[in-house]
Amino acid sequence: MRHRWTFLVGIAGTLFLTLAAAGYATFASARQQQVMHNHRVWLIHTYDVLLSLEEIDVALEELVSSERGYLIKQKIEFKSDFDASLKALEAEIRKLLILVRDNPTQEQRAHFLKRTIDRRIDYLKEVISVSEKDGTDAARKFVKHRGQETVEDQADDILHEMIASEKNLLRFRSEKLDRETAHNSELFATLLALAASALVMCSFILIYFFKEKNNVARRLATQLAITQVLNESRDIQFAFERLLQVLGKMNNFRFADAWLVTSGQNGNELKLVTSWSDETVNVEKFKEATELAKLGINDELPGQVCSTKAPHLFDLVTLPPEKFTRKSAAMADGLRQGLGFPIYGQTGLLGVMEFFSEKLNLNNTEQLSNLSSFGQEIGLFVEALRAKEELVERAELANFVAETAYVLSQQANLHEMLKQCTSLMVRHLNAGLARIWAIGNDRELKLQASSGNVGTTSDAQNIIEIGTGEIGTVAEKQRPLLSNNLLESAQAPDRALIESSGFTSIAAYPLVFGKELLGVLAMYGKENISRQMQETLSGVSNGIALGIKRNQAELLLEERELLFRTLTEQIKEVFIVAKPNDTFVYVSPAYEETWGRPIADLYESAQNIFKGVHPEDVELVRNFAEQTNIQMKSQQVEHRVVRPDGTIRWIWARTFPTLNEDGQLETIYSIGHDITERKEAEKRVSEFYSTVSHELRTPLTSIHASLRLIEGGLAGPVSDKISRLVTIARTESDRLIRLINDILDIRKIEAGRLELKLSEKPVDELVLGAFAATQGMAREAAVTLKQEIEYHGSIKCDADRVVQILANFLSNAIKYSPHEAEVRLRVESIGTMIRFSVSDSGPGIPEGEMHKLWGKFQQLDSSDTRQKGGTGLGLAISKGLAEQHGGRVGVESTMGKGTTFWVELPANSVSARITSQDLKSFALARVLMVEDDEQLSKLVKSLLKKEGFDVEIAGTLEEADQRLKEFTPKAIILDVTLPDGNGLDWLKKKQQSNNEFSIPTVVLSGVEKNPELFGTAIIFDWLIKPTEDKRLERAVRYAVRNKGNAKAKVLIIEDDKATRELLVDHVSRFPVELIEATEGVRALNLARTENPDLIILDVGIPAPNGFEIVESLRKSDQRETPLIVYTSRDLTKAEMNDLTLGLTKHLIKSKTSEQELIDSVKQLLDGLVTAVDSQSKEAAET
Amino acid sequence: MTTAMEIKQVLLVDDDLNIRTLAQMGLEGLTDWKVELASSGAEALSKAAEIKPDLIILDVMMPGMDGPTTLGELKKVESLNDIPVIFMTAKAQTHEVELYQKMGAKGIITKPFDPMSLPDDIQGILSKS
Repeated sequence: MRHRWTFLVGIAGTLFLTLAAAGYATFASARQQQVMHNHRVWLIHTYDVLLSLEEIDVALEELVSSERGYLIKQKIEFKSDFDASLKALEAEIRKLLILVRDNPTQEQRAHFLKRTIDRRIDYLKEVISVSEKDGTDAARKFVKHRGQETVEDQADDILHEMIASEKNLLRFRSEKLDRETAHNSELFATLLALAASALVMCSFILIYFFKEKNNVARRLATQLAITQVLNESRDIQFAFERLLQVLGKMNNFRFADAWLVTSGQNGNELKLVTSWSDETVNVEKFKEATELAKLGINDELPGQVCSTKAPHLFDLVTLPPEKFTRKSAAMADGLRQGLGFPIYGQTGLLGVMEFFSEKLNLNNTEQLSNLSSFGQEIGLFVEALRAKEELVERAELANFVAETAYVLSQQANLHEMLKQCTSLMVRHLNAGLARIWAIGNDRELKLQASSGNVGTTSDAQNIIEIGTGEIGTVAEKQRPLLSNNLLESAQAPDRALIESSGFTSIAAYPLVFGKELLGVLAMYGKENISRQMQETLSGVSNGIALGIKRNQAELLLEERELLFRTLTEQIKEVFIVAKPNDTFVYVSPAYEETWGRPIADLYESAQNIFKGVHPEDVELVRNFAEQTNIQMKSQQVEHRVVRPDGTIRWIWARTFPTLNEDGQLETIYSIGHDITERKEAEKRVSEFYSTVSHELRTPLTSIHASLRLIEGGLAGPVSDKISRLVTIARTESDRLIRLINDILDIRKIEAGRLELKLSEKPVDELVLGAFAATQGMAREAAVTLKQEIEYHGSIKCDADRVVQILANFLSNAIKYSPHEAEVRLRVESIGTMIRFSVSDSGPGIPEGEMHKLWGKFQQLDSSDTRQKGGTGLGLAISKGLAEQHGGRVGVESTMGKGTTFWVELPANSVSARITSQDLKSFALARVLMVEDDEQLSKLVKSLLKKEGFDVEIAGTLEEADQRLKEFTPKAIILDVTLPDGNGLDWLKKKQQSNNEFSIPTVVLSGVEKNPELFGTAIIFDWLIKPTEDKRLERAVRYAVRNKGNAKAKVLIIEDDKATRELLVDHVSRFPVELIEATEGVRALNLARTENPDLIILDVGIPAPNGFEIVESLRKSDQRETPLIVYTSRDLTKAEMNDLTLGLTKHLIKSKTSEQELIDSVKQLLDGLVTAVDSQSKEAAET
Repeated sequence: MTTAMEIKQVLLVDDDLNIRTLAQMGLEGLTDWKVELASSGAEALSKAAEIKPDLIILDVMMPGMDGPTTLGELKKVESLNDIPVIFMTAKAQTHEVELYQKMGAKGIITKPFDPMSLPDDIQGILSKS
C-alpha cells in the first residue's frame, strides 16, 4: 500500500502548486479566460483519473483479501464480498477506460491493466471454484502450484506507472495554469478555481480516512465550476455553452442542451440556446433532432419540466414517441436516460437544462438534486445579464434620440442634417443601411441621404416612383413597413439590394407633417429590429419630418420646442435641456414617472431637482452638474432618487454640453436612465457570491474539525506518516479559511460595503492586540517582536480592523525575517496623523517591485505563496482598510537591509461616510416658517434651501396647525404678528396642550424680545427683522442641531499658560462649556470631535501651528465654525485670509482690550448664548 | 481548571450533521460531559425541556427557527431560561457579538471551530461571564 501514501503526498504537493497560482495574477482578456478555463477543466479531469486509479487499487485489494478470506474461512460473506468488489472493480475499470480516452499512452496502459486484472480475476475465480468444488485444501494446493505473485505485481506495477504518469500530468497542467494565471486578475474566478482544487483534494484526504465515498468533492467542484463560468461570462449564449460543457463533462453525460422561454408568435415557446455533445461519442442524430425541434412551452421533455416546474429523470426507452419527439434519434445514438431541471429566476421560470446519458440509472436522484439546485443560481445570472443587455439597448436608443434631437434643432443645412441623421442610425441602431428620401416636385422620392455599407452601389433607389417597391409603397400608403423577414414580406422588396447585401430586416416610415408627405425614412439590417427600436424610429421620423419642414421655413421657438417634445417623449429616459444659468428649458414627461414629482417644480427652480435626490448623493449630483459647467465636457454619474412614496430608484445620468461659436457653454442636454433593475440584479449576484462563500465555509468547517480530531488523536491512534499528512491537510485548510475570509473582506471593501465601527482606542491596546495575534508565529520563526511607542494617546478607529492591518504587517515582517532577528513596531504622531510602522531586517524589496505590493495576489515571487503561506490579499486589504479610515499606507525598503511598512491613520477618523451622514441630517431637515409676508418667506426659503433646508411656509397660524399635522419639522421660524393671532401665544398654547411639543423655534419678528418667553427651552433664538442672512441661517442650523438645551462649546487653543487662564476667565462669564488645548494635534482632535461653536486660536502653538489647523479645518465639517484669532503678532492681509473660517475676528493681543475680547466672543456666540443667560450671569457676578 | 459551574450534560444544536458529529466527538473525547444533539431550533426546545442540560451550544444560522429565535423561546420558558447558551457562528462581526450578548447569550464560538480546544473555549466563556 506504499504507493497510496505517495499518491497522497503527491496530492498535497499539487495542492501547494495550485495554491501557488494565487501568487500570479494580473489582467486577462476574455480569450485568456477561456484558455484558463479549459486548463482548469483539464486539471479537474486529471484528478478524476487519479481518483479512479486509486479506487481500482482499493477494489483490487478488497478482491484479493476477500478471496483469501474465503479460502481460509470458507464463509459465504467473503464470497459475496468477492462478488461485490469484482463488480466495483469492473465498473471502475470501465470508467477509467473512458476517462483516459484523451491520452493514448494512458489508454494503452489502461487496456493492458484491464487485461492483467482480467487474468487475475480469472485466476481468482478459478481458485474460488476449485475451493467450492474440492474444498479449501485443494484450492490451497492449486494456489501453491500456480503461483500468482507475478500477476499481482504486474497489476500493481502498471497501476503505479499510471499514477506516476498522471501525477506528472497534473503537475504539468497546474504549472500551465500557473503560467496562464500570470496574466489574470479576475480575483474571484481565480480564487474559486484554487479553492475548488484545494477543496477537492482536502476532501480526497478525508474520504480516505473515513472511508466514506460521498459526493462532497464532486458537488463542490461542480458548484465552483458553475460560479466560475458565470463569473467569466459576458453573455447568455457564452455562459450556457460553457455550463453545458462543464456539467456534461464532470458528470459523464453524452449530450446536453439548454432552452429558454421566449415570447414567440403563438405565445410563449422554448428556444434552444445551445447544445453540447461529448466529442468521444457519436450523438449527431440526436443533436440534429434537437436543433430542429420546435417546442412549445408544454412540449416534450423540457415542456414537462416547465409545466411541473420540477426536475425530472426520464427513462427514454419507455417514453412514448408522442411525448418525446426526438425518441428515434435518441435510440439510434444509444441515449437511454434524460435528466432535466428548471432554470428559475426572481421573475419565475426562465428555461430548462437537459442532460442525456447512455446509462439508465433511475436511482440517480442525488445527482439530479445536486444539478437542479444550481438552476436558481443560473437563473439569477441570466436575469442579471438580460437586465444589462436591455439597459444597453435602451441607453443606445436614448443616445440616438438625444443626438438626433440635437442635430435637428441645430443643423441649418438640410442635406447635412439628413446625412447626420442616417449616420446616427448606423452608429446607434446598428443599421446595415439607413436612407432618407424627400419628395420632389414631380411627386417622386429623391434619395437625400444614405449611410451604411451596401456592398454594391445600387442606383435603383436614387429615384423611386411613389407606389413602386417597398419604399414607394410606404410613401403611397403613408403607413410604415416593419419586417424581420424581408424576403417573405408581402410588399415587393428591392431584391437586388437585399440579395446582394444579405439584409433580413427593414423598418421604413413615411415622413409626414400634418397630412403632407415629405419623404420616407428606412433602415435595413441583418439583425432583427426590436419593438423598442421600432417605436423609437417612429418617433424620430416625426421629428425628422419637423426638421425638414423647419428647413423649408424657419420654425418658431414653440415649434422647436415641439420638436424636442415629439422626440423625447418617445423615450422612457428622463431628458432635460438646461441653460448655464441653472434653469431648465425642457424636462421630458418621463421625469414625473421616474422621480414621482411634478415637472412644474423644476421649471420653477432647477434647484428643486435636489428634492428628489437621495440625501447621501446630493453632493455627488451637485458636483456632477458643476463639473459639466466648469469642464464643458460630458460627465456621468450614478445616483439614487427618493420618490415621495419613499421608494428608491437608481439613475445613471449623463450630460452633453454644447458650446456656442465663442466657445462658451450654451445648452446642456442630459439624459437620466433608470437603472434600478440592473442595480437590483447586480445586488442579487453579489448576494449569490456571499452565499457561495458561506457554502464554502460550511464544508470547510467539517474538514477542518475532522482533521483536528485526527491530529488530536481523538479518532484513534495514527502512524507518524498519517499524522504528517493530516497536518499538511490541516494547515492547508487553515489557509483556505483565511482565503475565504480575505475574499469576503476584499469584496466588501471593493463594493464600499465595509462599515467601520469607530470608537476611541488607546494606541497601546491596538499594539497589544496585533502582538497577541502574531506572537505564536514569531515564536515559531524565532523572531522577536519589539515595540517603540512614542505616542501614547488614543485614536478613533475600528479597533478590530486596525489590529488586522498591524497584524498583517507584522506577519509579513516575521515571514521575511532571518532567524533570531527583530521586528519593530513603532508608533508616532506626525502632524494630524498617527503613524504605525513595522520594520524588519529581511532581504528588502527591489525598487521596481514596490508598486506591485498593494495589488491583489501580489506576493512578489510566486514561490513565496507556497513558502510563506499567505493568501496574497493581505496588503490589498490593509490598504483598503486604511483608506476607509481616511488614512494611507506606504513602504520603504533597502535591499539587503530590510523593509518598513507603515500605515498612517488620522488621530480622529473623519471618513467620507460620516460627512455624508451629517449631510443627510441637514439635507433632510424640514423647517416650518410661519410668516404672513410672502416676499420674506420666499426669500428665506430660497436662502435656506442653499444651505440644505427644506422650508415649508404657513401664512397663518391655522395653516401652521395644518402643516404640523402633516409633518414634524426640525425647527420652526415664527413671526409674532400674524393675521389670525399672536405667534407667541400660539406657541405657548401648543406647549401647554402638549408637553411633548418641543420643536426648537427661532422667532423672527419686528417685535422686541419678550424676556418672559425668551429663554424657554424651545424658543431658542430671537432675531429682529431685518436680520443678516448669515445669522438667520446659523440660528436655524443650531436649532436643527437642537443645541437649544445644551451649552455652547468654546475651544481655546493657546500654549501660554497665563494667556490661557486669562481667556478662560473672560469666556467663562458666558454660560458655555470650555475646552482647552495647548498643542496642535490635540486642538485638531478636539475641533473635530467636540464640534465647538467658537474657536479661539493662538497662531504660534506647537505643530501643527494655527495656519495648519485652519487649513485642515477648512476641509472638514468645521469650515463654518466662528473663529477668533488671538495672536501676538501683526498679520498681513494674506495671512488674515488664510486664518479665516466662518465668522472670523483677528485680534492682536497687545492692541485688544479686555472688553473688545469679551464683546467679540459675545458677538460670535450670538444666537447660542442667550441674552437672558449672559445677563443673569453678569448680574450674579456684580 | 476551575469554573464556577459543573457541566454534566450539554445540548448541541446545529442543522449540519457533520458539525454535530465532530463537535460531539471533540467534547465527549476530551471531557466527561454527556453531549445530546438536536438538529433544529424546535427540536432543541423539546430536548432542552426533556433533559434540562447544563449548557446549550446553539448554531446561529439554521433553517426555520434560527439560533437567536430559539434563544428567545428558551428565555420565555421559566424552567429553561437559566441555562447558559453559547452561540456558534461563522466569522462574527463585532456588533453581532454585542447583539447576541444583549440577548442573553454567554458568548460566541466562531466557525470554523477547533474541536480540540472546544472544551477550553467553552470554559473560558463561562468563567468570564
